[in-house]
Amino acid sequence: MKIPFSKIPVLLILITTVYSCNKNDAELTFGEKYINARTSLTLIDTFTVEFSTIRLDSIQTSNTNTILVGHYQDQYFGEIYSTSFIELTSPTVYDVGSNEVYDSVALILNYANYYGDTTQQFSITVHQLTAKIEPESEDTYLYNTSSVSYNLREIGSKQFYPKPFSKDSLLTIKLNDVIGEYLFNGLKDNNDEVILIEKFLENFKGLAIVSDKFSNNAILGFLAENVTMRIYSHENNIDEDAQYYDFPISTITSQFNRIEHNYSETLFSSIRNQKDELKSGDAYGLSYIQAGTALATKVKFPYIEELLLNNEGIILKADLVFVPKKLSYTGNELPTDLVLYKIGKHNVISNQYYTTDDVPITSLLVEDDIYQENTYYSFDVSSYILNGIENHYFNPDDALLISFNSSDIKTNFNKVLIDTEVFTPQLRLYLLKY
Amino acid sequence: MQLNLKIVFIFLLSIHMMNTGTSQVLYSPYSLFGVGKIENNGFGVNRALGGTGIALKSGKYLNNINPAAYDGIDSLKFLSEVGLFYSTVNYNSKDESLVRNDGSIQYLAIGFRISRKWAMSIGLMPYSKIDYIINSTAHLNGESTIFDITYTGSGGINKFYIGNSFRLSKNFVIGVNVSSLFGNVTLLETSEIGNDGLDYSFENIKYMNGLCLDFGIQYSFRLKEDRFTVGAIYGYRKELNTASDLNISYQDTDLTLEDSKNVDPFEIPQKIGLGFAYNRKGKWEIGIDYEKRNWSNMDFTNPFLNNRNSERFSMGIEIFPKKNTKNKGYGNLSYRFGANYNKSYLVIGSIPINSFALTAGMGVPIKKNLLNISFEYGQNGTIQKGLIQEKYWQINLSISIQDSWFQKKKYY
Repeated sequence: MKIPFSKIPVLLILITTVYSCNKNDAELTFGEKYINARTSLTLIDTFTVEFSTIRLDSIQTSNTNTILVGHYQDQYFGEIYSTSFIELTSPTVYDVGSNEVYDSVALILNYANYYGDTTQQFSITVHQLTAKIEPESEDTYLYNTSSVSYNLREIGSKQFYPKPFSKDSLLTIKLNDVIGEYLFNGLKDNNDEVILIEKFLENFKGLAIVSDKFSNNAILGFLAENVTMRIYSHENNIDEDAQYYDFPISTITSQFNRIEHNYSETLFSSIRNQKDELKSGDAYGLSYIQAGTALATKVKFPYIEELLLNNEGIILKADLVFVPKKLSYTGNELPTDLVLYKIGKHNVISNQYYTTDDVPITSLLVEDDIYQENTYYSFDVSSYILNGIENHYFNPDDALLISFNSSDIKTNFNKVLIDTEVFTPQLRLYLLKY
Repeated sequence: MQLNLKIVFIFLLSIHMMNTGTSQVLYSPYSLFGVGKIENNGFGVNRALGGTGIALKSGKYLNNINPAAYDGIDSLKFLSEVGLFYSTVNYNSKDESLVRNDGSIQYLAIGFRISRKWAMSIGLMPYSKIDYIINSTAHLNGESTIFDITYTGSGGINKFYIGNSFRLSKNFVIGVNVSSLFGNVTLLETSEIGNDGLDYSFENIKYMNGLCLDFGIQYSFRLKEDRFTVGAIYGYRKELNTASDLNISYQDTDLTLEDSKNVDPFEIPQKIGLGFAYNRKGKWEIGIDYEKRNWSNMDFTNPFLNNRNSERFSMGIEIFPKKNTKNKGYGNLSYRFGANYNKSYLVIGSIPINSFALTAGMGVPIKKNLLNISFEYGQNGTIQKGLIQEKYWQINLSISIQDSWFQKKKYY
């Protein structure tokens, strides 16, 4: 037998290839202490962080689908008084029988949210507007500062205990029968003044929903799109068979809330406009964030450009950590979703939100439910810091602004009172040294 | 035709070798230190003789320990040789033990004679290997947090040599190996912190290459029927060209940086070796080697590593029971026994890492070719101070193929 020797090594390779695959992956914990690691991870939290309160000038409050009515007094945040303005339209489909008789008229509101103490009795009045709801010229929105005059004589009122907890629960406010009867007869007689929208709006410019300024200590939110003024009637000879006709909201784009914020008694009373700021150091260590009043906390890192001198390693991550003032909130009242804006000179918001890959950065809230001792917020501000390092420049005018997302700002009064004294806000930089 | 096949075959082998050089898992935990674990030198027959070879000559097999040894290649013969191993390593620490099996190609080489006085050999083999995975923990400085981190090392240095031996006189041969050392090692640190955005992987790839020369002499003389040989080898210290790259990954970022501040060049230490062989009437031959490599003056960055000069003592005996008989084929076996003691360059903390091995094997001539098989039992390291002792059984297999392709040309 002649063995082709040049083939033997090929065979051997095949054999060893098979052997080589037969490997086990268990690991022995040897060498741990002899490793001469190249990397180490260090937390640096010594960079100075400055917090101050600013207040945005105006907030768009039209087209938010939220009616805010109420009054709230808060020892830290001041006094908030919200009045809502709506425009109604006449029904498009109706058929009033000749036998029908007017019963009553009511404004029906659908609860959306609330803010403050709803265990107290709440007083609300409804007024007719004496002017049309119109934005300022060349503007399409109305703002917290906008206003429309209304007849001080109310056409309806109600004292009640709010039940905002179910979204299906309705608030019904009986209105003046003189108006109700006029509108009912207009429908019945096909009166142009009532059934033609333009003419209706000339006479019936809208409603102001007004809170009592003295007794109320809550702000109620209602869904604007569901608002309707309802006229009830019944057939003359049949008592039980009630009918109704709705004068619904004309459009939510014309509905807005006027929010008056009296903060003359607060620590930030000196703030006049968006350029003004109140350093937490001048406010007993406090800084403020509230949605509907547009209070926001500006964050500056005054010595951050020193980071550019760092050549010891790479910053993997940067977190901004701060704590809410203990006992300034109850239960799980703390909002979970604060957001960051990037602001520039004069506190002008330059970026809608501060984002990473176009995803807004939201806060992480860690709550200590029992003692409130270890409750804190943190933001991943890596992109801000890393961008600065990458561009080798931190614009000294730039800052971050802690606030709420724009729909929160337009529709609620959630708040955080930040305490920078008990816990100094930290910029936590995780540095990978190598 | 034969030659072409051979070239293709060698090429394939080379590729296979390069690949296996980096794919082995946990080759040795001791490879964590320095340039990794230095491969035992010597081809299949040298291995069977405990790694001995400074004063031994190539014959039907190749001996690469001393470049002067190529002179023993039969004239007009073309030797090609491939070495394989399969090992079962038992890793023991104080508390744990682990068995691993491994097998691969060890080397491949060819040898041939250019002229009566000049022989050559070309070969490829690993010089050192790094292969470890260590799961550990690290501190997050500035915060009282400990996180998991995995250290992984892989890669190694390969050696490609072209060796020449020149017979200066009847008794005196000199040789030189011109070697190209090349390779890369990858040291990886991967954290498992779990906190979004904090995890990182830090990969340090070091590339090295360099040419180095080592020299050898053999002097033989006969006393009656006995032959005495003394040999010496010398290789000088050589710094390899070393480049180091860093790949750092964290969050969504992948950075590739040139590692400017931590490029410690890999170095090949100066080596010097002496050997003696005594051939008794062609019936048996005994060889003794001593080799020393000057690692102690090298600077390794690992503070736990106190390197010292490595030393190798080995001896081997080969017995040719039926030498000179005309009996061709399987009858003409030779038997080989050997032992070695190695003081490696590693002193970890205060613990020197030493090893020994006992070997036994035989050479089986098949036609003109030689199949060498040997068994090796060895121990390396110690279980003191959290270290590991490796006990292994290894089978070394090499086949030396003799072709007469120079002769064939004469067949015209």
